[in-house]
Amino acid sequence: MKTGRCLCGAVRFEADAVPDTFIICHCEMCRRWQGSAVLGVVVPDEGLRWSGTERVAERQTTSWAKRAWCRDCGTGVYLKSTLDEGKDGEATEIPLGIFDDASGFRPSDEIWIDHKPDSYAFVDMGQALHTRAECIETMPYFTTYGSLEQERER
Amino acid sequence: MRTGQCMCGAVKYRAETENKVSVCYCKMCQRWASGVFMGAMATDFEVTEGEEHLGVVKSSDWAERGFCKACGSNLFYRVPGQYMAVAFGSLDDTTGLSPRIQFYVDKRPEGFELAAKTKEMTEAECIAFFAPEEAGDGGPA
Ligand SMILES: [Zn+2]
Ligand SMILES: [Zn+2]
Repeated sequence: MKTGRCLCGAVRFEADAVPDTFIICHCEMCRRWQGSAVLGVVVPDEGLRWSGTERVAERQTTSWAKRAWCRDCGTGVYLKSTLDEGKDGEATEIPLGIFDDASGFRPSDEIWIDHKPDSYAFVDMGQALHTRAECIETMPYFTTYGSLEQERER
Repeated sequence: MRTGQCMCGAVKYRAETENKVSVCYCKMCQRWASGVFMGAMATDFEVTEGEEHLGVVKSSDWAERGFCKACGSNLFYRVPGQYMAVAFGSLDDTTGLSPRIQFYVDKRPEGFELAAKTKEMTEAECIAFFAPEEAGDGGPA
């Protein structure tokens, strides 16, 4: 089991089944949200337990997903698809940094790689790189993801 | 002068920046910024829109962090009167800015590493340099 919490400790989680990989997203929304990229671990909802949820603020940030943060300290605590809400087999993307022990994970994929600023790059640890177009092609619900313009129009 | 904003656009700011971009891996920054807090040193910071949406949390005896209450974006880290860094990703244009130094590199989990080599400081070096008297659990931040 792994545990984690926001900066101030108001929001906490524990998870029974956590993969040892994470995804790096460079889309503009993730970059603005977290200051560089979002490093997220996709954790199955089965066996995932939150506490302090009354301190969680949620917002639908694209047509298919919502983001959540701690009202008290602003820490991003999850991203989640809203397309399959209530169905079995759902998962929640949790920022790697909020795990109490963020060691032992490796990046599996880097997405929106063509939207990453040129001024930094993560070291090559064998992760697969995907452009925005490739993401959209393989995952159609990504169409609006990463477009701040579309978000503003909503 | 550069401009920036949170993800949802509720909070907008302007600031002067120098090419002093730092990356911090202390546990507080890890938690706050999903793993890596990347900040551009800023002066003359001014919120130009949405002051009412700006949340400021005191994260240690000397530092505070600003975020958008409407979307949770992190916006800045500052030691009032002494130092301020705006979140790199919140800047509208980062031309000419790139990471120059990495703090708490001995706390950097293996998956977080940046490809470019910069000056690096360990936790002990950061504490000796920034907060010799005050650092407690988790260090500066
Ligand atoms: Zn919190
Ligand atoms: Zn916002």
